Amino acid sequence: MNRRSAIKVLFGGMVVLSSMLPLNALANFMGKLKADDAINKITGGKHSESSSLKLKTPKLAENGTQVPVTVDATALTGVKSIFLLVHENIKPVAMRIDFESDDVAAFASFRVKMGKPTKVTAIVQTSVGFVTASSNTKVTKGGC
Amino acid sequence: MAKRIKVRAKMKKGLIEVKYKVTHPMETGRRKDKSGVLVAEDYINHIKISKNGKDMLTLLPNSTISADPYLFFKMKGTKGDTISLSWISNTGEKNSANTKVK
Repeated sequence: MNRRSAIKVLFGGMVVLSSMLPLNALANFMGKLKADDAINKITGGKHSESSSLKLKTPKLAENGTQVPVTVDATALTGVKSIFLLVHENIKPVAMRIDFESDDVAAFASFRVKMGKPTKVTAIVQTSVGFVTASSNTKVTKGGC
Repeated sequence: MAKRIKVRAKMKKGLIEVKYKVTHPMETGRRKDKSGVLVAEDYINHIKISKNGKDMLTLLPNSTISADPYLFFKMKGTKGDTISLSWISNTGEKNSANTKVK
């Protein structure tokens, strides 16, 4: 291996490493921690509640393994990402959604697991700052 | 194990409505099987959705997403656009699917 190819390999390795970095940084709040700590890690402690962010969860979920959640942030502008937290779960951050294009409506619907009655929080990152909305769901049969 | 991706992409009120159902057990690593042995963690942790080859969404699900993840999104577009989804699990498994908007 001459010097030129050695440099190429080195740079290639660096590119691979740096492309993996965001995922590593993410592991910080995707793991087992308290929900409030996770919120602070995501927002840096700066966030405000807003009624224009709509979080729809059932008041009472019969089956804790399939709880439908809908986040509607179409009333907000410049939405970059949506985070969903289920407070009582061991891993509170259930999903992070990054919007890569303006073509996508700031809207998402999916299903999460819940271990017990819990508060659910949606955090939306906009170009201005972080907006949150919360709701409570009771679970009759846990599934986490 | 067959891990299918079911898609429905339809135009509605000028937007494409994309619904996905990805067959995946989404094991949290905390469940025990019948013999009392813990089932290893196995969940999708990276999903990419694109339209006509352009990235639209990146999803980073955790193990607390329900088994057989169901996803619903809306995006601008026209009939005949190609929507594709690809996922990677924490065990390194992969799958992808393309579909045309109806």
